[in-house]
Amino acid sequence: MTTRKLDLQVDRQAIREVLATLQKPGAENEWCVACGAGAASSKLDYPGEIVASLGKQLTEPAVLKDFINQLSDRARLEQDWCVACGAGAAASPLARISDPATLSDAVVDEIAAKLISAVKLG
Amino acid sequence: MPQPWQGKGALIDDGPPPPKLDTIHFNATKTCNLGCAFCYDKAIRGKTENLPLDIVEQIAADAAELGARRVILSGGEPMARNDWRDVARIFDMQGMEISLATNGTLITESVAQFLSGLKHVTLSISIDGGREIHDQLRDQQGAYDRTLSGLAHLRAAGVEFDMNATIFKANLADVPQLTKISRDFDSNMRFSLLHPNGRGEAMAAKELSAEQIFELREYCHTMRKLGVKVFINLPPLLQYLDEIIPARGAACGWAVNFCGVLSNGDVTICGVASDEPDLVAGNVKQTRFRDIWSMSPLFRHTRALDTRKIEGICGRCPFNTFCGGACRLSAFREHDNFLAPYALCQKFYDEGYIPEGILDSQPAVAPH
Repeated sequence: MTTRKLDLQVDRQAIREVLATLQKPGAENEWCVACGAGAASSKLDYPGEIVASLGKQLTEPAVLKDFINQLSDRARLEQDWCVACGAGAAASPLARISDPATLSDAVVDEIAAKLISAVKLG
Repeated sequence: MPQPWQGKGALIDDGPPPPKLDTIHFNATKTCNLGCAFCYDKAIRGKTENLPLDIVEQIAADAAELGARRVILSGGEPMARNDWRDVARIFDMQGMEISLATNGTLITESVAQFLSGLKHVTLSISIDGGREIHDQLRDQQGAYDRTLSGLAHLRAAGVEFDMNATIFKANLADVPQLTKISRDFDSNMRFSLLHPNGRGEAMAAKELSAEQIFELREYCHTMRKLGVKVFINLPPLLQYLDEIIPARGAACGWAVNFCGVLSNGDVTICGVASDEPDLVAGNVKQTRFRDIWSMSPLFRHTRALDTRKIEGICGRCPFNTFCGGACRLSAFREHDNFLAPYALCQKFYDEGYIPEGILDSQPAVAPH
């Protein structure tokens, strides 16, 4: 067995605190982790808030990665500004697109080809 | 070799009272109008044995009395049963939420109108790629167009739905197509990985590699940041923290507040457990559902299991008490042992993707 060296700092106690908050007897927003069977509704909004407030230190590598991804995605959408003088568009690079309908087929294909080898290879 | 719960009689009437039931997964029929390559139920085209409505009524009444708030109505294709509306009404009248798992091809305007009249119904629609791949995997030309037509009828009638896709090597390249469908309907699209259930058992060679799973995870994560509701179904150890699926108990609640009833009346640990005679707790044609749930040796055995003692990677995982080992049916199918590690997490650990620092320090019990 090989262990890859990943620069990841993890606070297990903090993980448990986050999980204790996520686990709710009678929760109506879960689905089967294997087959996906279960309720249908908008499910993952509140865990995001919990993670933001309680578990941020756990996810810093991921947060950084997201941030970088978002910056490059936003650059394509002309929401960038100059890192030196601030000149450029006014929109925050972290503002989320609230309406996914604005995402064109071409952008979906481009992101898929960038991230999924099988798509890139066709 | 006999299992520990076998040979103890049909029911054990002493011991602790049963826990409150939350959800039953009821396969209304084994008949299906499609022939999916990976069907967990090994459903067939043609007539099959269905439980009569009076027994369905008894199951629903017992389940409600035991506290169940939800039924996952599945199959086969539940709408392939001629009286499926009566089946739905029976659970609806008991005040239970209906989560209807369907391929969507039989949803007409009339069906959508009927569904909109139920008190609380949500749908999970199966779709596995663009037109060509979907029809090929479903072994039915025209299935894709009929499913999309069904989605349009649901949308017009205001019925809420999610979509489920089983992703493996054959349809990974179609993920962008599925993303566009999710975007166009503004509905959740869940990508589940192939599991060794039913006809999926023979397709192990077509499962995604660890690298492909990570690629799909990154893709979903990126798309979600852009507002598209695509998810990958992964246990929490392998998931981004802000995308961990909320839970009502360890794993899906199997044996504690969840069970399956198959179309032939067998009561099992999950509706996906068809074709697994060792996991039949009883049959509702011989014994009342409430008695099977309360007193079957199988359920008494599974309720006594401690998921903290799951072997391998699961025994050292910091998410253990939350996750409960993900799918215990998969573990049983692969190792004949409810306490075997979840194969996907074990695979990632064995391939070196899980840093030791994230795991609890005690040595893991060797995999079964």
